[in-house]
Amino acid sequence: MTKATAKSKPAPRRFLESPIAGPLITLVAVTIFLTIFVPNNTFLTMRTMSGIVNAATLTGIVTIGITLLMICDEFDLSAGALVAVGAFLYGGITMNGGSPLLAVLAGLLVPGLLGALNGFLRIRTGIPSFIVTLGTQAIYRAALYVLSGGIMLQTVTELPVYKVFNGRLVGLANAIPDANFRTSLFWLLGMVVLFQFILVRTRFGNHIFAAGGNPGAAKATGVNVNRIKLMGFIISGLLAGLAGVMLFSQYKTARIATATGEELNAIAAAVVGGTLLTGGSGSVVGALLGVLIISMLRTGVVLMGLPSDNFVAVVGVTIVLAAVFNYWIRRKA
Amino acid sequence: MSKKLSTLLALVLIATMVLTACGATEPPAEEPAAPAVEETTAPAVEEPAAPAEDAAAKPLKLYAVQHALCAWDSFWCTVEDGIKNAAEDMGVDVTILGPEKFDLEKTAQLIEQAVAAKPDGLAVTVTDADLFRAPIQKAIDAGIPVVAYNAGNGPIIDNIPYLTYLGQDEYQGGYQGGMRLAADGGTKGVCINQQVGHAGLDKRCNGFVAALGEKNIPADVLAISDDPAASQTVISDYYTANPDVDIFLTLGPNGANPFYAFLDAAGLAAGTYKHGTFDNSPEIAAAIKDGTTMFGIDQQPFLQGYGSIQSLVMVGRYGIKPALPVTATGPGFITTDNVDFAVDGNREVNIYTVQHALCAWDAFWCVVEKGIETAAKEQGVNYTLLGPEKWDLEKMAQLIEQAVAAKPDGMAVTVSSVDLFRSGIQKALDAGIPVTAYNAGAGPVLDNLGYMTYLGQDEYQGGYQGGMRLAADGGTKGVCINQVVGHTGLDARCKGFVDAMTEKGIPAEVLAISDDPASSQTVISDYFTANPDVDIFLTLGPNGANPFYAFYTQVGLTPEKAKHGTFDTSPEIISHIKDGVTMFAIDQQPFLQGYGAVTTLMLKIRYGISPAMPVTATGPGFVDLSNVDTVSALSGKYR
Amino acid sequence: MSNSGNDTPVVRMESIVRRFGTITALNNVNFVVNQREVVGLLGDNGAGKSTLIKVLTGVYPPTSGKIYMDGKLVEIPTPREARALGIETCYQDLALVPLMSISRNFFLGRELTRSLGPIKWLNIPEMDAQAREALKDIGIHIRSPREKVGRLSGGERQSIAIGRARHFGARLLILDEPTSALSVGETHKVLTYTLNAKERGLSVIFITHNVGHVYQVADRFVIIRRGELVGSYAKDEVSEKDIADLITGEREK
Repeated sequence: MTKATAKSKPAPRRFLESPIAGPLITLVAVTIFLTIFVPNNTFLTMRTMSGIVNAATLTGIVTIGITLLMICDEFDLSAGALVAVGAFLYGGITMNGGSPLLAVLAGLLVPGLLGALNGFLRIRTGIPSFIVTLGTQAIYRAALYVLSGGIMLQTVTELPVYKVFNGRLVGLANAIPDANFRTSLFWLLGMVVLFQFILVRTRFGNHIFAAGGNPGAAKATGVNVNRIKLMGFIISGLLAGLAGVMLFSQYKTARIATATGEELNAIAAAVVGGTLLTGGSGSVVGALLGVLIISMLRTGVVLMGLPSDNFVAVVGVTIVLAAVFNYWIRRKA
Repeated sequence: MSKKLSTLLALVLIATMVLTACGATEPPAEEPAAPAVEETTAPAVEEPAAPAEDAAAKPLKLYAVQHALCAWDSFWCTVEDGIKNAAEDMGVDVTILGPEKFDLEKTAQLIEQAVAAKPDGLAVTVTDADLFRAPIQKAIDAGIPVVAYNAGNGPIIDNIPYLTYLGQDEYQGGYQGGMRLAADGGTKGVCINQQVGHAGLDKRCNGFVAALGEKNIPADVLAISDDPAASQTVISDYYTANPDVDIFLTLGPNGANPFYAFLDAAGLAAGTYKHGTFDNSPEIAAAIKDGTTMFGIDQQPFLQGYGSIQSLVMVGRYGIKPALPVTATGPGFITTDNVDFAVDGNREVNIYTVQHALCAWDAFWCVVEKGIETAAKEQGVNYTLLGPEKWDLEKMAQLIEQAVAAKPDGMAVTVSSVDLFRSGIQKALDAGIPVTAYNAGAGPVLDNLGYMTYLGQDEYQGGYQGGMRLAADGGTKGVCINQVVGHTGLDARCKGFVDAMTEKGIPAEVLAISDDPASSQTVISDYFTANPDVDIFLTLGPNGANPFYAFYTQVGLTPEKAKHGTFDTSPEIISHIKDGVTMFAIDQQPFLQGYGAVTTLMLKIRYGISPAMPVTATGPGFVDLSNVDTVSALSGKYR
Repeated sequence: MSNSGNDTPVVRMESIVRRFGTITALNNVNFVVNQREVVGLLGDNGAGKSTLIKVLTGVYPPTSGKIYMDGKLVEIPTPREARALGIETCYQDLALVPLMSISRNFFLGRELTRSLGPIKWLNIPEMDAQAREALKDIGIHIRSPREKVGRLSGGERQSIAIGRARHFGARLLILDEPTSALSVGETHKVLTYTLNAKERGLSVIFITHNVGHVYQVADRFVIIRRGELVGSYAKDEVSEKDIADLITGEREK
């Protein structure tokens, strides 16, 4: 008989084990750094903070879905195209006087179904999702082009449904000067809470971790790995659609090229937020932290007066550093 | 997933798509020409287009006031021919006024008379800016569009805000002439000027000297007089002192004649020198034919008349304004190829237009094709339009070959890929078919291909002129918001803007954003936080304007606190021009690209007139409070 | 025959033939596992051991032959079916998810939940407690059920897989090369847990090349060579060397 020590690890050690340890530390570090180095104390202001949040919400929503998929070891490179599809359907229906409910349903469900298509293709053909969704991305954008006739949608009319999905929080803005938050914040927080719960507190979530961490073991214990992944693709599609709805609600514009590259932003945010590229580990809260970190850095670049086209380089370096840092933290734990 | 769930979702999908298809209508809209400009222009129209009658048929009443008349100065017969031809082609009414002899005061009175007649447009020879300023200003104040032709220096130099000056660009004439003469190298050049001190003639020599300087050939200006005998001696003495001179430019018959006399006397062998001159005359024409003279430079007076009427019609019917303060009608080069060209206003014209996209699958091109169609109808030109069924440059190269094989009188091509299209276009040129480029291309010089000209938007000019307008009343700091840094067209726009700001002594820089509206809005907001003194903003299209407006509202800016101009139009931009937030929108004016392509070919084929510049700007066209209603009503069709 | 507490074998495979095209992988093999018995299944590479196990675990059906569990004729068309009948395979690497905790792994596919109306969520405290208990029962003491399985040694992981199988009512455990790539200490642990499992009512098929390891725990040895059953020997009938010779064919029967 072997005996093992009954002592469990000390609290700091346990914290470092958590997937959000790395990103949380990074977020705090970046905040402190920018507070100190941004001139004229303009960083920790309501306006700047609300700007950071607003820039992060749409990508944040997409990142939630991407994170879930990455945890079960799949990628969705068509997320940006699905955002555009959602924006177009929602925008097109509301602009032509259609029912807001129909617009929202179309804007969410059609991308959701296209996500299911991604899943089916992945499962049936066995081709890696990276490749499959690279292909479907082109197909979805082309279909959008054909169905829409190449036009750009734009309206100047403000409709109530727009306010619901991404209206300004006027009351708050009046109470606190420069607090430019929008309803998108609530949607983001709501989705984060909902999907973090699903991820760490439900069977389905457990199966997502298993499907990514060791699909063989998962299958052996009766988990339907294919079904889990399919659900992941559907969720990714639904959330992309939601982001499209919210995008159109604020900017009232949709083009074929809307949200190009968004999937890569989401993957970057997921990685910065502690999700492993290899699958099996990640966190929805981490996704939120990831988009906030990237948004903060973008703001920091501009506020510090650095040439603004350096931003892409800054983000690229950050992603690499963050990924390495997150990995290192895990090993320390 | 379970069968029930799948079925339910499938039903929902089908239901959604069906309802969407029923609910959505197909509004007309525009999309950018892919290589030329990255931006989308006027999208789905919200309000239906108001005018019941076709804009192209709108009748106009125009006046032309000039300081001389055909009746007593034969030079002007050609100008008046141009005016009358244009009026007939475009279906407008023109009244020509002029004094019975050279009398500038009388001419000024005639301008007043024209203004009182409340015309839809006014063309004036701005022979004396100070004398004519007051009556022209009256016309402008009354809302009458005004253009200058044959005489004038452009609205900026003349300090009169008319739309444009149509005439020869003297500097360009000397410059292009110099380039042609020095094309095969040379040892030394001389510009023979019979009226040193005359602004126009001096400019010609400046251009010539600059061109030779670029080719590393030293050049002088030799002053002669109007006395032919004395002048001949001066030239001869100069040659004795500078026997290595082998490039000669004369500035008109008064310079060419003594030069020819000098040549005879000195017995210079043909081929040991090169000579070009301004203007044309029987001597000059003979010299061109026998090879003594390489070319004559014509200011193309027909085009001065034709072009001024055309410009006024563009403004009056379509709200399309001339792109540049100076619209060059010359230099037009007369060489052995066209020295014997017989003008024939009724000559049949059959042309081919080959473009890389079609209205059928890219809504932007509907406006271009409308321009082609309108010009062809007005001018009695037959055209065949060719384009691939989708973006396919190889297919387009084949279509070019196809067009060449049909042996048309002229061809217009979108030069979207110089490399792929070079051989096809060269075949056309070798077969003697005049070719012009529209919407895409960099001009014959930069593309290194001998087509006539490229009609399209001059991006740098757009940014420059936009900047000048925004800074007209001063400012503290300016920013050019660029969503695709690295795109040559967009970068050129910002460069023009920054240069204009710098001229006005206002610091300006470029802010890079992305295509994502949410993060772009925050970037602009952050920039404003770091630079709260910024009060001049330029955006480069709806993708920049959209997040800018969101930022504008968020921060609570007002037209007093911030000036904004943008490229391209969209319903949002148009609404903000109307409410005063946005000072202007700059349109590349695709209608004019198509219309201009046909007109350029027609003028060449019927009248032997060549476009003056390697790049003929169709944009920037400014849309502001003065024409926004016309533009938005025509959106999708003519704009 | 070795001693068993009950007469009916847990599994009886009768006249199993398995052909792949023209190749006969198994030729009339009879194979029996009794209650509370550890059977060592030995044979050289390509002998047919894995084919036999795959037939038993439902990866493919036998070309002909019958399988009985607890005396009853059964069909095993899929691995699912095999699991449902209580046949569990514990691969060293493929049993657990390294990035997940012990208790999540333990209950993977069979998670415990609490519910409020239609919403169900994981009952993590209960899962932690039960996992700890079930493992303790088999002799495995873990530091914390929240610990990630990837941090455990190969032997510990193997033992958790065993514990899990037992807890969820497996009747027959198949250990495929459980001690390969393990240190001496780890090997000892695995062998110990194997015996514990037997004590608690499971039967075990121990597949290996390592005669020395299996000799310590098995009650009986079944040797397969070239698709045919060489023989079934109780431990007191053969020595380690005998077994080795039987495998290679140095010694016939």
